[in-house]
Amino acid sequence: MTDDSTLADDAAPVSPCHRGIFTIAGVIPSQLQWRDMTYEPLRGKIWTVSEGINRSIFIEGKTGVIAFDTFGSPMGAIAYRSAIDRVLPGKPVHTLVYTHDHLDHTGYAADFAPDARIVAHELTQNVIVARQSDGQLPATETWSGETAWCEIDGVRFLLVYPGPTHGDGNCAAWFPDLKLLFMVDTIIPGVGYTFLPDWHLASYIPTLTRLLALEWDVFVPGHFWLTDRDGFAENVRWYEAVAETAQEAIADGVDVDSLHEVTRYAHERLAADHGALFRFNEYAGMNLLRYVYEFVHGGWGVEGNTPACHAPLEVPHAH
Amino acid sequence: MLTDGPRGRFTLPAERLAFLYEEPELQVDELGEGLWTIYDGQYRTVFADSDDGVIAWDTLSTPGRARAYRAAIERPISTVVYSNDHLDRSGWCSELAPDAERVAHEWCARVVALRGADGQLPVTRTFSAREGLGPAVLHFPGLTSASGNIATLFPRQRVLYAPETVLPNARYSMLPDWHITAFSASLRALLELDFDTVVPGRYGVMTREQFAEGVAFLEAVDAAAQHAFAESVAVWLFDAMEAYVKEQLAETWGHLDGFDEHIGIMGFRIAHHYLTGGWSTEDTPAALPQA
Repeated sequence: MTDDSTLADDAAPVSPCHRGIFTIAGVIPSQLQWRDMTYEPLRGKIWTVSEGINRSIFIEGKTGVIAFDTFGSPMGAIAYRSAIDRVLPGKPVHTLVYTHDHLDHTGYAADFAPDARIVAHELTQNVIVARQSDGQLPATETWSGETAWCEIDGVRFLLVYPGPTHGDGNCAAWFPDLKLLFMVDTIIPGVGYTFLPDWHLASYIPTLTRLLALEWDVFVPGHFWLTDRDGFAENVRWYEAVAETAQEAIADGVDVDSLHEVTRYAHERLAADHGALFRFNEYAGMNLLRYVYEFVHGGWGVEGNTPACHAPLEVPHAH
Repeated sequence: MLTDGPRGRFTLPAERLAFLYEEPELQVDELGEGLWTIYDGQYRTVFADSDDGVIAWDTLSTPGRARAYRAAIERPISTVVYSNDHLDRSGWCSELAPDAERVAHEWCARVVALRGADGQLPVTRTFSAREGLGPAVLHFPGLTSASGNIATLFPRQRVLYAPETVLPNARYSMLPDWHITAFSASLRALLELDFDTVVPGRYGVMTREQFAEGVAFLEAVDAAAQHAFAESVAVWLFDAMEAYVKEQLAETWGHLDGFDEHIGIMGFRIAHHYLTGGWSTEDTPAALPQA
């Protein structure tokens, strides 16, 4: 916690916690809200932790802990750290790996482990440095390209950046010995994501499916619960269906500026095959609206227009 | 009428794409000497006379509409200005004026080149901040929406053409491809220019006062969305977000057309900006182009 409120408006009173990028004056109560964490062992020395919505992993090393991400608020970060300290008492979090740049996953290292070594993809780092968000610490080490083996404190894993999916530099962590893949804000059970914020849809499906070249049978997503290769395939089918239906909606003259109309169309066209998916009723319309804009606009920005790489993912030999 | 042609990003079979090639009646209105606005019922743009021929801004939203636009101008088009990279704004120059010079902001040009959409021809001349062009001055006011979105000032007619910025209503939907960090400062930079009339990219022509009111409305939605998030309204629950921002904003802004229908998704989108931190290096205080 800190008294630093330098990023807030001049009129803002001293803030009792890190503020992220809020520009409104005054205290941000949601940043101070306690989050109860649940945690469980996964495989080997990997644990998974969640407050019911976001999910991450941490790993016991020989001398300390390698943690991924920070959760999405100062109190979330503190609760995460508290959970690790309870599971692995006396072991410091010496390494923090950022999966991508978004504050709801990596925004609060200053509250979680301010002295840790922080590892991120250079595309993630570019955004973090430019953003200057209060509480989000820049990485101390960056990597580039598609893959990087990490051997840290007796723990071995491969960081994989398969191409643009969501956010910037969003990478997966593959633990080959445990056949476990962790990746945030991509594959998820059901229709778990709202309007697909900061998704790069043109290359999304081919980029993601490159991960199928790796040997794994447990997929740990950044939200909700664990899934597997069947769950991965089901989620990809959903995106393919939404992409097709978005084009149909435009061709059928649906008022694509109306969330209500697009939602009605989504339910009419997609419920039969996909209506049982988790949160279909909540987010099918928003998912479809986002895909409609993809076709109307042609993709957003450089990331949204970068051609997908279809080449098989090459796994370098570990040292 | 064409029955086939450029298709942008669409992958549907050709028989499902007839809507792309319809050529509707367009409404043309003179805004001042040598300057006209053209409207297809959904999208609005402008064209102007210059010493070197007609300058057309943007292409309208489909190949068919671009052809109708060309027919409505009735004269050779020497230059086409892309206000931004989106296909519904500048995607169909192959049908409007394939041999014209094509001018755009450098960020827009980069995305257009990368996209390689079949009807959106590459930019042939770029600029970075401000550029004179015949009777107009092209301005990049900072990030608003899309890539390299510019506004164009016609000083003699005191008209500003500013697509994908302010609307004369509240029909912004999910604020697609908006850059939330900078939009307020960028729009206020446009208010420093000398104009009386604003041509938005959609709907009716506006007064300067309506434009200023629109900027204030967007700023109010931004503040309300932050307060909702700060006060622990669950940003992923649409009904809760919609109820909060409606309650906060209806008294002052409820008169705007489309308010009830659009305010929920606008607030929801902006709250996600503060949740995630903005998208890419563009949507940061540094406002850097994407790597």
